[in-house]
Amino acid sequence: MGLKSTLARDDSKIFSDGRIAGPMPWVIAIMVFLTILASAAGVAIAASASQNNETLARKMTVQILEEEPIKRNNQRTQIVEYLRKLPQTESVTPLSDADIIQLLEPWLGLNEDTAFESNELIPLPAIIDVQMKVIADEPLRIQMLSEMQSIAPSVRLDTQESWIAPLYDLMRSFIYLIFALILLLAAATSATVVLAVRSALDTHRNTLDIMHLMGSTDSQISRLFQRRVAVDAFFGGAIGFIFGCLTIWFISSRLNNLIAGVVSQISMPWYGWIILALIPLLMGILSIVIARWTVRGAMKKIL
Amino acid sequence: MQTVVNFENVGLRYGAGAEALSGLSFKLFAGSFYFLTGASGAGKTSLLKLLYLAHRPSRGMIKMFGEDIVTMPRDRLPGFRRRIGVVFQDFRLLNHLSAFDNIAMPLRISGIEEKDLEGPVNELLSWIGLADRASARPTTLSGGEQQRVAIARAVIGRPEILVADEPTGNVDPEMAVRLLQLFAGLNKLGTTVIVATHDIHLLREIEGAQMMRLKDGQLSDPTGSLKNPAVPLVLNN
Repeated sequence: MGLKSTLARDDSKIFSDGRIAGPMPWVIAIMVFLTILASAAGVAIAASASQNNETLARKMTVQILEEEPIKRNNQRTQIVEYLRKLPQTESVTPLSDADIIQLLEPWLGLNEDTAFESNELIPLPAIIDVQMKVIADEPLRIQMLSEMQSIAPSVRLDTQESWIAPLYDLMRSFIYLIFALILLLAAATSATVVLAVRSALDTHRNTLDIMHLMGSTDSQISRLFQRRVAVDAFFGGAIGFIFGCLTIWFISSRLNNLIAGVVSQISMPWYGWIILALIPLLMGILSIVIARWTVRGAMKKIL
Repeated sequence: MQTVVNFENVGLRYGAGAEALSGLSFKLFAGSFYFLTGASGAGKTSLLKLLYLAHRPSRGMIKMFGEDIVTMPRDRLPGFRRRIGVVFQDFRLLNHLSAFDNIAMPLRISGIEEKDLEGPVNELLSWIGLADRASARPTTLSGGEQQRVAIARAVIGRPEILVADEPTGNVDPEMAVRLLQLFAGLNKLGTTVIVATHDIHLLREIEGAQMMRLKDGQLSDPTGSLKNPAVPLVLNN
């Protein structure tokens, strides 16, 4: 059995104190807290994006821009029939005139009483919501448009992708930003550990010199520091994790009270909690690795 | 007789300064007892640092236990250091540890189980007359007591080479003789002992001891000024 086991088991007989340096656990707690919040936001946004992306990508809207109401209604009926016969469609929902008027009301001030009158002044399009079974690729869309144009020359086919894409680009940018933020927090944690370990190396310089001259190996000495850093890092990580989760719970409950619909769309998936639980663990492991690297680097400078 | 230390044309320079040690060539043999003498600044401590592997030489070749330690990878050095006991001039005890724990440290470093530590450490504490001070911190011990703890720490691991820098400097004559007897006892068990000292009278206490005399970083002429013909000098090769 070497020093590795003996000193690791009873290193209180080597160093005068049990910790590395005063503020390190609290700095790590803050870093873990911020990382938890950033990760929660990232996971929630990513989950929301992936959850809604496919559903929305399978949606299309058909518009018939025919001015003549009777002709427009006939074309709508034929196109609905055509769409329902397609094997790739899951559901076809023609919007009633009342639905369309309701949609346009905020912009045009229409209501059911004035609709018919207005309809003559401002022609309203016929709108059909189409939910596909799969995401319609471009050849399918071209084929559908072509066949619908033979029924109604003024038909337009819009995918949800066209208006949702910028939103997803924004969400993706947020995710990249959060990822960069997490990397920065990890780097800041590493720097904190390096500074704390260097400080501890200076504090225990005499002890380390004596141990070194008595035949301690670099691994044995670094293990003493790793143990202390591990204690501090996991302590700080636990504090940061608890406060991070409490903050997420608090924000979620406030948002839930405010706008339940929105929150349900950006809620944390089950695996998000596992990711959050791994953060203090990963921060602890990172701290241990950095401590080992720092001590061994310092020890190599002496014979 | 087996050679445990072999210096060949060894020089040591600190930074860009002049050589603290220059052109040292000698051999030390297993089971021998050596006194290292010389005026302050002659290079005794520098030579001891080379012997207990705190430094590598700036030039020359050093073999210990048959292996070249100058070019040896540093990860192999700890194994060699465990074969060398050191008594530092300034003791270098760890003030946050008790006398017991200071003495036990080399055994802990060597991986000895806690249950196997107590016997040898307590035995040595009794021998140096500090059995009742086992739990005392070094700062509460007198200079002589600290020195005895430092010596006990150096010898507890039964080193093959014992290097002591002025080990009797802070103890009374009676204790100095007792400590030298301890060194002599270890020497009889096969430990090679190198004691740096100013106290020329000690040289007479160890029968068969040899002397190394340093002057200006070099082993001085064996026919030099030391008037102690009973002690043979280590010759330059």
